Amino acid sequence: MKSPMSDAALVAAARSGSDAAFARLVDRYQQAVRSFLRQVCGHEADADDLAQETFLAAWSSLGSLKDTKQLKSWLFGIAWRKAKGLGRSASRARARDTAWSDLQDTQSEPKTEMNIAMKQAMSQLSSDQRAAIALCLAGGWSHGDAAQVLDMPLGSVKSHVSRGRAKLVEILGVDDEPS
Amino acid sequence: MSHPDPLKVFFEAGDAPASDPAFRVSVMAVIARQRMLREWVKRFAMTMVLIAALFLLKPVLDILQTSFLEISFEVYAALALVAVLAFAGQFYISHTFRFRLSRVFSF
Repeated sequence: MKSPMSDAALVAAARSGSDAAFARLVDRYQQAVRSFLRQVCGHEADADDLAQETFLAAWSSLGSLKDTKQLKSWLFGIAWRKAKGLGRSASRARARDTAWSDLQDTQSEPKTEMNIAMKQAMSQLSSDQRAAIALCLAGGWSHGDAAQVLDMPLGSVKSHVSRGRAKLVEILGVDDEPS
Repeated sequence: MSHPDPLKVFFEAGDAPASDPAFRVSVMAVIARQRMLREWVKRFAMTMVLIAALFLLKPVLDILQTSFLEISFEVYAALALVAVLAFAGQFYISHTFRFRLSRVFSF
């Protein structure tokens, strides 16, 4: 069986012009990046638009990536900066690419009650809290790595995660006690 | 023993699909458009540079044009003969004609 190519090999191939290599990187990281952006934005179509822009920006500036081991952090850093930009421009949210939106409508998975409840709960947190929660609780990142991606002090990330989590538990009414 | 985070299941409910070929195709289509746009911008810029260079060299080109008009027909015929022989020689060696006009403008 063929072993999967490493990130470093795929980045090197993409840098030398291989679209197939970059497509494999998209395949590898699309779920993580889109899930993160969905948690931060709360709107799936906007999040997918941002994810698309994130990968386009990554393709454009692939040459500036110094350490390929940091590819995931680098991608998430781009995604976070894009998400912050979206937050500053409310009008941008409605000016989506309709072609992609139409495509998604036919393929989107059914919304579960849990998904809707989580979206509503997340919408009551600040964008910084949402991002810290999405990385550390949903994505399993360490506080240190999240601080690096979000360009925040470590203490702020810890505080955002702790306060945000407490608020989510309260809003969602989940049992947070060890059984 | 640590218990699983009760919020985890809520987060997983909103996760993007693990495999989504439609998303990959949309990203690669945007990249292809971007590459084409860059290529056109580059070619446009090169064309502008070429036009500017020709404009600046116009006095020299005018002198050359006058000089060429003074050259006799035999000289042009000899140059054409040399070109034909060069192409014939290339075809004899490689059995292909490799001259492509597009290569002249590829940067």
